[in-house]
Amino acid sequence: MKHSLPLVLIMFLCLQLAGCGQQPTVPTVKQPAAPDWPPAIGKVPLVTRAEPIEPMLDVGVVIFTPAPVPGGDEALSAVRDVESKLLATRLRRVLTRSGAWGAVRLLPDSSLLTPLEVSATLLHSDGNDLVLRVRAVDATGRIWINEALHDQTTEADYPIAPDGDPFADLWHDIANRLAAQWSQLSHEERRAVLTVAELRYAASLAPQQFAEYLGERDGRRYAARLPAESDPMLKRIAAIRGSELMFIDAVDEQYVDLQQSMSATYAAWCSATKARADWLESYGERVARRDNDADAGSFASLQSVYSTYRAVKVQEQDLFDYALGFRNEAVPTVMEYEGRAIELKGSLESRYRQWRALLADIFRLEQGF
Amino acid sequence: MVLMLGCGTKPRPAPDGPVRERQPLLDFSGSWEVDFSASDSVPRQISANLRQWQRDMERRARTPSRSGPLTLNLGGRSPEAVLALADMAELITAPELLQILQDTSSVRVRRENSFALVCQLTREPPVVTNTPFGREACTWDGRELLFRVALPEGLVIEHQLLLAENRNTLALTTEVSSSRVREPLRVRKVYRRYDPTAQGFRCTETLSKGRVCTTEAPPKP
Repeated sequence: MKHSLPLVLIMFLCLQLAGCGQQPTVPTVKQPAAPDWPPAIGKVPLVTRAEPIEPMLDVGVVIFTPAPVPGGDEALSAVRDVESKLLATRLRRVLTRSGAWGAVRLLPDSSLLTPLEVSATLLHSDGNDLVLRVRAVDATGRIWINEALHDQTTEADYPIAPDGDPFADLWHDIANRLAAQWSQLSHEERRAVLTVAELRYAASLAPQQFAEYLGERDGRRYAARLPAESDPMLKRIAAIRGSELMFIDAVDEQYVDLQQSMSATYAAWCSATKARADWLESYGERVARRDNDADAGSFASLQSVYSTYRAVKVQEQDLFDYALGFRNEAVPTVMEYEGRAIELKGSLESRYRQWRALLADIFRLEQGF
Repeated sequence: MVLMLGCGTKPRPAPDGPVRERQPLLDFSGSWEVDFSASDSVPRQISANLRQWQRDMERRARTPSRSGPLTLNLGGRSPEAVLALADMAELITAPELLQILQDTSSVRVRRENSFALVCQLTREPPVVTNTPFGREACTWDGRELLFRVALPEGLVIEHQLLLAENRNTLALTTEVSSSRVREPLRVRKVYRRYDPTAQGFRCTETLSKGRVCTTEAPPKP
C-alpha cells in the first residue's frame, strides 16, 4: 500500500505523541520536587559589615555547573549555560556587598588562585524554585559549606523589580554562612589559610621547590615551614599570579556586561516559568477534582494553555539569543605578557585553562625546569 | 486547501512493511513572507466547520430516536468549541514573517511575534522532547519538516513545512485540535522568499547592545 509522504510523517509523530485518537496524557503537574531537596530557606536578610574581617580573605566564585538538560535541547542548554554564569555573578555581587571580604572574583574554572573557593551545581531552577549544591572550601581543605540549598519564591518576589532577584535570600544565606565561618576561626587559623594558599599556588608551579613546605594532617594542609622572604622564585611566582589575575579581571568585564544586560530577560524567563508551574499546579488540582469539564475546550482555557506555553518558549529563546550574543562577543581575549601579545580562543573556561598552562610553561622555561 | 482531517482517519502503514529511507532535510534557510492570496483564512475555515456542524444537526434531527436528545456538543463540533479552536488557530497562525536558520545540527524557524520552532538534526528522528508542559516532537524528510506539540487540555498543534520544488515557496500547514474538537482545524499558509536587506537594513543580536541594525551590506559568503 502506497502512502503519501506527509501522512506517513504525521503518523510517525502521532504514534510518538501517544496516539492521535486519544487525549494526550496529562503532563506532570509540576516539576517533581525531588525528595532530596532540602526545605526552602525562607527570608534571609544579608548581614553587612562596614569593614572586612581581618585578615582580608579573597574569595573566588567559580562559574556554576549548569542544571541538567534532558533530551539535548540546544536552546535550553544554552539558556542553562548562560544562567549558570549569571547566577554566579549574583552570588559574587552579594558577597561583595556584604563587605566581609577582600576581592571577590569570578573564576571561569576551579583555581588555586584564591584562598577560598565557592562552587555550585544547579540542581533545579525555574521561577518557583532554585536548588543548588554549594561547596565552599579553603586552601587548607577545610570545608565551609557542602550541601544542597533550596530557595522558593513567594508572591512578594513578583513582579521582579528592575534590579531585583527573586532568589536573593539564597545568596544572602551563603554569604552569611561564609562570613560566620571566617569569623569563628582564630586569628592564627585565618593567617594559616592565607599562608597555605600562597604555598599551594607556588607548589602548583614549582612542586619540587615548594611542595615540601606543605604538610598534611587529617586531610588538612598546613604550612610545615616557610620559604625565605628573599627567595627570588617567590617574586616570579607573584608575577605569574599577577598575570593570572589580569586574565580574571579581563574576563570579569564580560561577566558584568552579562549581568547588566541579561538580568531583565532572565527575570522575564523566571516570571514565565513561575506562571507555567502555577498553571500546571492549578490544572493538576482541577484534573484531580474532575471539575474542569465546564471550561475545558473553551477559548479562554485553550488560550491560557497556549499563552503560558508560548511565554516560556519566547523567554527561553530570548535567553538563547543572549547566550549566542555572549558567545559572539567573548572572542578572542588578547593578553599581554612582558610585551608579547597572546591571543586566546574558545570558551572562557578553555581560554582560562590555556592561559594558565601558558603561564606555567613560561615559569618552567624561566626557571630552567 | 482547507481540510477537515482527523488523525484517526489517516491510513496506517503496514507494521511490517518496508521502511522508506529518509532523505536529508533540504535547505529551508532564508526569510519568508506570507502570500495572502495563496493562503487560507481562518474565518473561511470556521464557515466550513459550522456548515459541517449544521449538517450533523439536521441529520440528528431527522433521526431523533437513534441519536437521543439534541445537545450543543455533537461529535465534538459544538459551535462554541469550533469557534474556540478557530480563535486559537488564528492566534497560532498569525505570524506573517518567518526567518529560517539552518545548519547541519539544527533548523530554527523563527516566527514573527512568536517562539521559534526548533528541530535538532543531529538526532535520530523523530526527536521527542518532554517538557513540564507536555511533549514536543519533530521529524523531517527531504522537503518536509514536521513539528508536533501536545499540551494540557488536549491541545495539539502540528506544523508541517513543505518546501516547493523551486525552493522559493514554502507551505506551512498548521493543524490545531483539542480534547473537545477531535476533528482538527487545518490552516495552510503559503510563504515566499523575500530579501530583508531590501528594506535597507539588517539586524543581529549582540550582548552589550541588544538588537543592532545596520544599513551596511551583508558580508559576501
